[in-house]
Amino acid sequence: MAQAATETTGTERILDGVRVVELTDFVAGPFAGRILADLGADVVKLELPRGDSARRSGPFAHGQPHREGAAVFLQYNRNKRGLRVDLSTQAGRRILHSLLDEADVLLSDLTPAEQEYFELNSSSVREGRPHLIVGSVTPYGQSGPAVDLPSTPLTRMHSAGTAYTLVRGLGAGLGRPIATGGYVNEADGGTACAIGIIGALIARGEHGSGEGQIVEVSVQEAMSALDRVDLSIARNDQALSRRSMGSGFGGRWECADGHLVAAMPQPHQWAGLVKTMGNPDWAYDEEGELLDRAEHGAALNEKMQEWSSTRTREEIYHAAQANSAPIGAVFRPSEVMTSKQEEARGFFATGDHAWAGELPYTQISALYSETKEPLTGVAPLLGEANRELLSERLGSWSTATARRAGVA
Amino acid sequence: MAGPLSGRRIIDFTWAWAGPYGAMQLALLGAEVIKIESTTRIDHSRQRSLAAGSFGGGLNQAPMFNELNLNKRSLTLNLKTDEAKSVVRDLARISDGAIDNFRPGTLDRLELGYEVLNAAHPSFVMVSASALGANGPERNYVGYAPTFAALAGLSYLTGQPDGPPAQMGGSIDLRAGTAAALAMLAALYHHDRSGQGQFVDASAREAIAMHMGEQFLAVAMTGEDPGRVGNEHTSYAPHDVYQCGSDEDPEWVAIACRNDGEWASFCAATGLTQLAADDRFRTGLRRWKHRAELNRSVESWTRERSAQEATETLLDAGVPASPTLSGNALYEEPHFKARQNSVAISPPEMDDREVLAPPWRLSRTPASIDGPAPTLGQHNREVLEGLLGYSSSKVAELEAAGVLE
Repeated sequence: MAQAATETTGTERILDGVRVVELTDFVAGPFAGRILADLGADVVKLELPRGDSARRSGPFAHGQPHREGAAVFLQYNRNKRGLRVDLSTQAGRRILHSLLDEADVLLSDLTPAEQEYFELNSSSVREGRPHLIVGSVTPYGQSGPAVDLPSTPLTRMHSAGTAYTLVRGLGAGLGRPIATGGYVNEADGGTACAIGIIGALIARGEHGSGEGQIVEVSVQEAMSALDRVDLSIARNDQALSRRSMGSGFGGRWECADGHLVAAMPQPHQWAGLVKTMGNPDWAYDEEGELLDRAEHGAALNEKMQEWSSTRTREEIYHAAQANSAPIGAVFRPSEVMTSKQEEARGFFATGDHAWAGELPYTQISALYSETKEPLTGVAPLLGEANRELLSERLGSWSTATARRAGVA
Repeated sequence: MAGPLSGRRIIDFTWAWAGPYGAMQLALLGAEVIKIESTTRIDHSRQRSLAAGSFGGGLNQAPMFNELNLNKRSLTLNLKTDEAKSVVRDLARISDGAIDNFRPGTLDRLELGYEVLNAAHPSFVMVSASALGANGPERNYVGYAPTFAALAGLSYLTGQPDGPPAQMGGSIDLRAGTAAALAMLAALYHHDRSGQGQFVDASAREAIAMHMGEQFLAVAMTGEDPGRVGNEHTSYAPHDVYQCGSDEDPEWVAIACRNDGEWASFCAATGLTQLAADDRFRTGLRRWKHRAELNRSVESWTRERSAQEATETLLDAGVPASPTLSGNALYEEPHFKARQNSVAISPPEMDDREVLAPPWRLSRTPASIDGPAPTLGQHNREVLEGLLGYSSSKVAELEAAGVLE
């Protein structure tokens, strides 16, 4: 297992001893597996001989396409053990099933058609394995007319209401809808699946002796769920919600070196910003009261823009926050990586990968006071754990089976 | 069978959007979630000024609040009073955990921090979900969805290539709430196995950043920040959203061709055979390089039809496509309906509403929406008398002393 030793605050990790067999590709399923792996689960990631498709998605370490250097694969498969196995062979399927015999969780992103091909139906795989939890995360779930339709992260995001909702944040009215940057919305499917799986682990009881179940997540539905407020208001109130936070003031301003954003629903926050700006006259009415932001929002925004244009993001961000004004700098990813706050919290942890070298990996987003810190290992090389798993399972896999399955 | 958290009780100190959705997910999963509110400090999302413009009358008629507080109970307490603090400690004794999204240190100042609650109920589990976390030099900084996204680097990556970074809203908060719910589930599972409680320090900014980890690796690998790409892909084309219909009443369709096969299918299905023969578009790399011209040709085809028609034509040919669904269109979509992805609820003081179903389908212990968000203080008596066993005269005293405001 490619794991570095870590400093620990507690004696164990939350999912120590939980065995997960993962059969997923690209981002959504792998992210669910990574959350479980970071929390201590033993995640065996099965890859077909050609490897996870994320291995072919750039950018790559060292500037050259290489299956061991892909950013998406490396990030979403940390802390897992990799087994390369040809599941088109009966031998490969025997190996999969022998792993499932000892597993707590099968994490899969097979659609119904793919399940049929791999003979891995969510219900039948639990026959004779009452404790097994099947976590399924697929683009459109396991039922309904769209389940096997072709889709990509882009088309899924547009189908979920996400892109429609997002465009209104650009201040351009209802213009061309836009996609969220990165693969954030795909990862949302993985987070939802991890939540469902931990819920199912809880439901199995403290000794894990209770019954397992199927946890089904649709990536589309996981995305929609996060826009439930706007989608519901559009449906039930035939209206679009507004993002003015009731103040008529706020939004985005340009600074000398980029942009700032703010939402400040509370009067004391607005007062804090005015104080930060040195209590300019234009913020007050003739009686010396702060101007009403709902009424004068546009004019105040203009003045704020004038003020911010000669200052830097960092300067305004820290000064405004010192006065409790909730302003944020639009940071570049590289600036997040060098943030003092994130340095202090250890949010980026270096993982040393045999091919990709040392890289800064994000942690899952919480600090636990009693349990050990998340693991800081790296993603497996394709088939890296084949030998190890072969010797662990020597009793159940014959050499011939392993050879026919492409494992040996 | 009820959800996996049935039998658990969680104190919910959250307000606004992120925290309430975190706690609501626990309620959808079966936990009894008691939201502590106060008339002296109204949750923004209950207030008309924050509801969508014209609708919403009173505090119990806010669509936003309803959507983020389903299944919960509401107890009003003025936490500045000693008696209210005592009620919270009593509640902690019979609860498994608490979740808050105050600025770090606020509950400590109210003498209701983790130490106090854990003393009332040893092995207590608490998730504190703040803007930037409860540790670190910026722990006192405050924020909302737009600042979480900006500080995480996501706003910078979202937007048109030639436009400004996006101001992001709703889903950012709910993603932060989701990460807080995940943390609570993990801590509860650990508690079940070990008997150990703990304090979990969750950062909304990190909740966003952990969903875009590959972007930071990209910086480390290339030495550069990735730019904004709108709906484009870094190597596929066509891969964008295209206008259908007129400028006055536009619809949009997202189309993605990932390889030569899908491109050939696209050309055949659309009848744009001249594109298939065009040398500029012969390979993936060429299509990507000439995507501006390519996109114009694609859009000349989409403009002649509805988003639905364009989508059907392409899906039939095996090309990924989807209309950009609005809220209403999503609810009307056949797949959505077939999966019964909405639930009808009847809030006490609002018209019946259809809200989205929980995003997890658990076969044995299903998550469920059992009811609307509570009205302000709706469950005061039920909690104080029913759960805590206070006498009705004691409750009347609390009420008279302003403790339940």
